[in-house]
Amino acid sequence: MVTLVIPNVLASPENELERLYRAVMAQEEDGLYCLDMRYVSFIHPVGVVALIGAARFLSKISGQTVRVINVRPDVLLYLSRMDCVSNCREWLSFPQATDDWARSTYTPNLLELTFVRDHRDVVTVIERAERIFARWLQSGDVYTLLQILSELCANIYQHSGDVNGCVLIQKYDAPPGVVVRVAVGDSGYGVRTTLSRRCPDEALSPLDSLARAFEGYTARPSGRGGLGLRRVRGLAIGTGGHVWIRSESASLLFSGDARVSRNDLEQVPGTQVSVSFRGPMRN
Amino acid sequence: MTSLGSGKIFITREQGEIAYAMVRGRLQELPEGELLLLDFPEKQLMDASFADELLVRLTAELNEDAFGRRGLGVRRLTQDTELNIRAVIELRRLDRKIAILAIGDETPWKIIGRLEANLLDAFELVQRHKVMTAPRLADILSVAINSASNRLKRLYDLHLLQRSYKVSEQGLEYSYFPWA
Repeated sequence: MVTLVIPNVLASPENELERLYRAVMAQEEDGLYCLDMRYVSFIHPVGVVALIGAARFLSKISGQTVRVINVRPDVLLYLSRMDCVSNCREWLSFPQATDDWARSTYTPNLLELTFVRDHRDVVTVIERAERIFARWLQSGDVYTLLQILSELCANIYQHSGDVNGCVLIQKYDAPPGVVVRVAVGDSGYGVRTTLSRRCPDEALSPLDSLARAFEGYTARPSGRGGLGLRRVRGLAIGTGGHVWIRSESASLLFSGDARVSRNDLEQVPGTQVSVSFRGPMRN
Repeated sequence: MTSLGSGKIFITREQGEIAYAMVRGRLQELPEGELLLLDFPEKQLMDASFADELLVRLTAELNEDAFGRRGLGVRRLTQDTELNIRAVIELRRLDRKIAILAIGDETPWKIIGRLEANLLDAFELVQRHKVMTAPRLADILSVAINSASNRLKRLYDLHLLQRSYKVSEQGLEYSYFPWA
């Protein structure tokens, strides 16, 4: 059995997730893996996406479910509330929670882990998100959130080739307003492979591919496309939020006027996106 | 008038492609000189990809005269949807090249998109006066007839106005008017 101790990075700025990816992607053994989460005190949606991605990788190479141990009770309850415990049984085995939060279909703070496999799933996510967040956000901000969701979720099922791509949302109080964090992730083709279908003769690096995705390049045979991520960036930045995208060994972060690129990351399959936007609390 | 279904969620490019094909067919069936009005449900949600695939694409093709002298308008778009469409037009770098007709609040028609101020002024004046000629517009705006004529022609080329003509002693005279 191989035990990996997860550093407390699942609620840190996205670039800190590399500490998790580095530890996970170095594994090659065929055997039982354990993720020791003793140091994890908090998780953001993008941290859940990273955890799932790590578990899927370890599960794939080992052929077994990954055990999670030493989870703090509040963290376990959060993962349970996020439906991560029940929905990820194929890859992750969690200890039994001693308590259960009261479940309400219209819980006001989060949208649980939802797999996006086709257009109907996107509609379901949007309808559910609207019901949840209309309580907290002004109507314009609800619209912003739904547009971001629509574009990001559509990319999952239209481009990733992964039937287990997922989305999660969490609202946080940030007086006098709120911050909403959206994370989507898949373990599919990655942006470079997707875009290379239209430019097969060009040797794009993972970072080049991410840059092109934000410049309007599209993988669609029709040549029409390439707006989604740019629109998401415009919407998020316009509220004072940020957009972070990671694919294979590269990442791009947009925040305000800043753009931070990295091309020295651990090779991780698929694409992960984290978006935050800010809005005033609904009156 | 064409309704786009009973739902209020208009998202994803693939759905936009389906809507595009349907609306394109309806547009082609219209007699020339008529406008197809797309009626959207109240409080609709439309994402950028759908808006681009349906409205921006069709409007761009309309301006290339792909549909002859037919028009396209929209009704009941929310402010958020209109903002989204404007953002798409900007992302596509089609500012000042396309504009979408929408049923107005206080006027019969308004424009979604960014056009030069002088074109917007001319458009408003045509709406107010119902019929407009270049000499009349030139007189109202105190500009040269050539300039007035260019503005009206530009609005016509963008399928934002219709026009008729008569042959007078002064030659061919166009009258511009809003879509009915």
